Amino acid sequence: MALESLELIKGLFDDGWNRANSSQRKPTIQDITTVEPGGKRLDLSRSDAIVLYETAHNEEQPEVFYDFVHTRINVTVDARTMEGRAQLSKMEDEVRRIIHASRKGDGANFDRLLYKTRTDLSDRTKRLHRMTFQVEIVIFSELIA
Amino acid sequence: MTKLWDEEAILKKLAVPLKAARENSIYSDEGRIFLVAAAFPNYEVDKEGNILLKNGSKMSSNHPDYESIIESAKKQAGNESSVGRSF
Repeated sequence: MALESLELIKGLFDDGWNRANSSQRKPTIQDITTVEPGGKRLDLSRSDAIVLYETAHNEEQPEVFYDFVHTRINVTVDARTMEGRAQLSKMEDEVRRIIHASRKGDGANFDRLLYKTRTDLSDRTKRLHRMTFQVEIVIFSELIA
Repeated sequence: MTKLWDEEAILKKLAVPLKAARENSIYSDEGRIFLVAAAFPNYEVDKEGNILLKNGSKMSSNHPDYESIIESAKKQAGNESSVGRSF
């Protein structure tokens, strides 16, 4: 894989997000691992957010000669807004659209992109509307160097 | 051919302990990311799984945000963790 998994998903959302589909609001798209402790924090009162993080990375060795591996990487796309349920719903639709648009890969970095689990993690007491989507990047028959 | 064991029944029996293992994985290296995400962006989480306040001290379990962070992390880990997925 030429691009690292989070870099890849971040690129898809940065390039593919159509703000017309989310009330003219484009979320801040962040890789959680690049946020410095005590650094500039996410302010959900100013902007919606998509936070990305990798939760699993597996390699399967299906070949008799063990020269190739299938790689499966799970990335969580964590959508957050304080603009209400309707806005979260629009963000969900846009996330699904972008993931499905790349379902057959990009011809260079990965072969399949699967939309898997959805978990509602909204917290009414904080007016936080939050939904996480588990996405799987699949790379077929990657040659072991 | 008679099966020596019933795979479906085994999986059914394992469902509850596996879910608990996934939820509790937030305290391990494998699942700490769910705790980090639940605490983000207001708090940090250290390597031992302690939630840290802005001044760097550990958040106590009496803190008003503590329960909601743990609950949210466990719910997400229960659904998304890869622990036991190979069964």
